[in-house]
Amino acid sequence: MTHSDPMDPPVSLAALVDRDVVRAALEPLWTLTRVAVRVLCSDGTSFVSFDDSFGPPAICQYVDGFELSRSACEELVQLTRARQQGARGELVAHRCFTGAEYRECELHVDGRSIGRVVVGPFRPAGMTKAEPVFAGLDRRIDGEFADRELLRLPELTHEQVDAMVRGARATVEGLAARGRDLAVLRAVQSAEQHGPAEELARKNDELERANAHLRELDRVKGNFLATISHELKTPLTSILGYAEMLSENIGGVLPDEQRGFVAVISDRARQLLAMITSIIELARMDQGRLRARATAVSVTELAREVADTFVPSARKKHIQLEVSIDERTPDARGDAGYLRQVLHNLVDNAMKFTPDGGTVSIAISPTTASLADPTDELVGLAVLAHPQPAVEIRVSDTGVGIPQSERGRVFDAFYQVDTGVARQFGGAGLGLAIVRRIVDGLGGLVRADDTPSGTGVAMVVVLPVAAP
Amino acid sequence: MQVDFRSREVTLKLVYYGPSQSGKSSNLRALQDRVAASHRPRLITLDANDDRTLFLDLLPLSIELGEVTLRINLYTVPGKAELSATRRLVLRGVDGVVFVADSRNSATRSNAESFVDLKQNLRDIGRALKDLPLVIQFNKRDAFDVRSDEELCALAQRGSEPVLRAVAPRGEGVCETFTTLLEVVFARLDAAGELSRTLRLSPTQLLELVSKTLALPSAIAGARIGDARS
Repeated sequence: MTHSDPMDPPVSLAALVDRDVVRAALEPLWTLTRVAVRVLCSDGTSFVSFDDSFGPPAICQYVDGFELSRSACEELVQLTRARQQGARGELVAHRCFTGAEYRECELHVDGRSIGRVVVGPFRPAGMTKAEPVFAGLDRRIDGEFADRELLRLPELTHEQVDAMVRGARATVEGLAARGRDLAVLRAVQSAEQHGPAEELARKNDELERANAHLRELDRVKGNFLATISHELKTPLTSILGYAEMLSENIGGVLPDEQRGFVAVISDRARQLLAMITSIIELARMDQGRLRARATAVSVTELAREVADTFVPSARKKHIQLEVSIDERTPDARGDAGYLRQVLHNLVDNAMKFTPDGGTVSIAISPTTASLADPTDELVGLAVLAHPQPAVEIRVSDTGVGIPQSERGRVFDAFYQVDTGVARQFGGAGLGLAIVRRIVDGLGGLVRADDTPSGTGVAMVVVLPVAAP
Repeated sequence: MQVDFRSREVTLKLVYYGPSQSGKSSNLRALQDRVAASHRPRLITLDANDDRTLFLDLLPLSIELGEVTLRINLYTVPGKAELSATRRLVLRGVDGVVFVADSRNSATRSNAESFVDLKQNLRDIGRALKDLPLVIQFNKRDAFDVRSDEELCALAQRGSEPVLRAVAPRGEGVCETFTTLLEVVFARLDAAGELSRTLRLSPTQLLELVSKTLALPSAIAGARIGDARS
C-alpha cells in the first residue's frame, strides 16, 4: 500500500533553498541590530547563522565561566528544544536566567516543518540589570559585572524582535515555497521521462497475475454452476417423471384423491425447477459480462410473440391481456434471446400479481432517454449517459402495486415487497433481477412506475435504439 | 495512501479530474478560501511553458492528529485532451477521484470523453476505476441550458457513486464534494482496517475531526443528488 508519489517529493531546507540567497537576504538584519540570527534545519543542524565572529556574546561567556550556570544554560537549551512548539506560525519567546531573551519560530512549507529561525540573545528594551537568580547560582558570580556584560547585549523592543523573526520567516518560507514548486515540477518532468517504461513493466506484470486469477476463478465458478445445476435438476427431473407416471396410472389406477395429491407434487416440482433454472441463469449473468449480441431487434414483434404465449394462462385467470404497439417504434439494439426473456419475465411477473379479472397491458413505443453504452460496471453512469432515442417497453398490471419507497429494490435478487404476498403468489423474486441484469448489460434502463389508473404498477424498460 | 513512519505522516492523494474548463481549479480555489485560516494552504500552480505545456494545481492540506500528521494533497489534472501523459502521472498513487463534470447540455459529450479518458488512464497505470473511491460533481448548475435535476437524479440513483451539484466559483457544493469524497476514501481505506490501525481513529471519527479542524461544514445536505438526505 505504501508508495511514493513522484509529485510529492520530500522537503528539506537544503533541498529547497539556496544557502547563499538566504544569507544575502538575512544579513541586513544582523548588520543593523547585531543580534544573532540563525536558521536551523529540522534536524537542528545550522543552515545559516549570523553571529559575532569573536565568539558568543560577553554575558554568555560569563555564564560559561561557572560550572553550575553553564550546566543550567545547557539544561535550559535542551528543555527548550524538547518543549512542544507553538501553534503553526506562532512566535515563541525564550528567556534566559540572565534576563536575555530569544525569539523563535518554526518554518513551514505546504504544512510541513522545514526548520526554525532563532533570533537572540537580545536585551529587552528597558532592562538594565541581570536577573538576580543568575548571581544566586554561584558565590563567585559578580552581580554588577553581570549587569555590565548584559548591557553590552544589543537592546531591542519586543516589536522590533518580532518584526525581525517575521521578516526572516517570510523570506525563508517564500524562497522554500518557490523551491518546492520547482522540486515538484522537476519530479513531474523526471517521472514523465522515466515513468512510461516502469508503468508498462508493472502493468504487464499485473495483467499477467490478474489473468491467471481470472482463469482460476472462471474455472471454479464454472464447476460450481455445473455441479449445482446437475445435483439439483437431476433429482427434480426424476420426481417430475415419476409423478407423471403415477398420474398416468402406469403404476396402477390411482383413486381421484391421490391423483389430486400427485398433481400438487408435479406442480410444485415444476415451480422448483423454474426457480432453480432462474438462479442458475442469474449466477451465469453475475459470473461475467452478459454475453449478449448487439443486433437490431424488433421489440414490437417480440412483444406480440410473448403475449401470444401468455394467452392460455390469462384466460385461465380471467385476466385481460392488452397489447398496444406504436408502429413507429424503431428496432432496439440488443439480443433477441435476452429481450424475449425480459418481456417474458415482465409479463409473467405482472400476471402473477394481478388478481382474477384484472388487466395486464404491454405497450411498446419510441421515447428519448439518458442511456450509456453498456458497461460491465455502472461507474460514472451520470457522466456517460446522454439523452438519445430509445425504445420503451411498459408492462402494467392492476395488482397490489409497489410502494414508492420499495421501487428501487424490486430489481434486487430475492427481493419481495411483502413476504406474505410472495407466499400467496409464489416465486423467489428472481424474474425482475434477471430483467435488470439483462437490461443493464444492454445499456438500458429499468424502473417501476405508476399506472395512469393508480392501481397496480408499470414496469418500464428503456433500450437504446439500434444503429440505422 | 502513503505512510511515512519516520516523519509520522499519512498522505492521501485526491485528484480532481474532468474536461477542460469544467471548474477543477475553481473547486480548489473555493476550497482554499473556505478552509480555516489556521490551516489555509498555498495553492501551487504549475505552469511551465517549455517544450510541452504542463498545467496543474496542487492544494496540500495538512491536519495534525495527535502524533500523526494527515496530509491530503488535492490535485487537478490538465483538461486539454493532448496532455494525457500528465494526467496519467497525476493519477499515480491516487486514493480518490472527484470527477468535475460541466452541467451544460453542450458539454455532455466532452464530459463523457473525459470520463472514458479517466478510465483508460487508470487502466494504463494498472488501476481500475471501479475499485477507486469516486464522486461525481455536476458543476456550473447556475449556467443556462443545463441538464435537468430530474435526469441527474435518475442517473445518480442508478449509478454506484455519489453525485453532487455545485457552483464552484461561488463555493456551492465544493466543501460537500470534498467531504463526500473523504467519506468514501476513509471507508474504502478502512475496509482492510488499515486506516483505523494507522491513525487509531474510525473513518467517522476521522471525517469529523478533519471537517472540524478545517472548519468545513459537517452536514452534507442539499448538494447530493438522488440521496435521501438531500
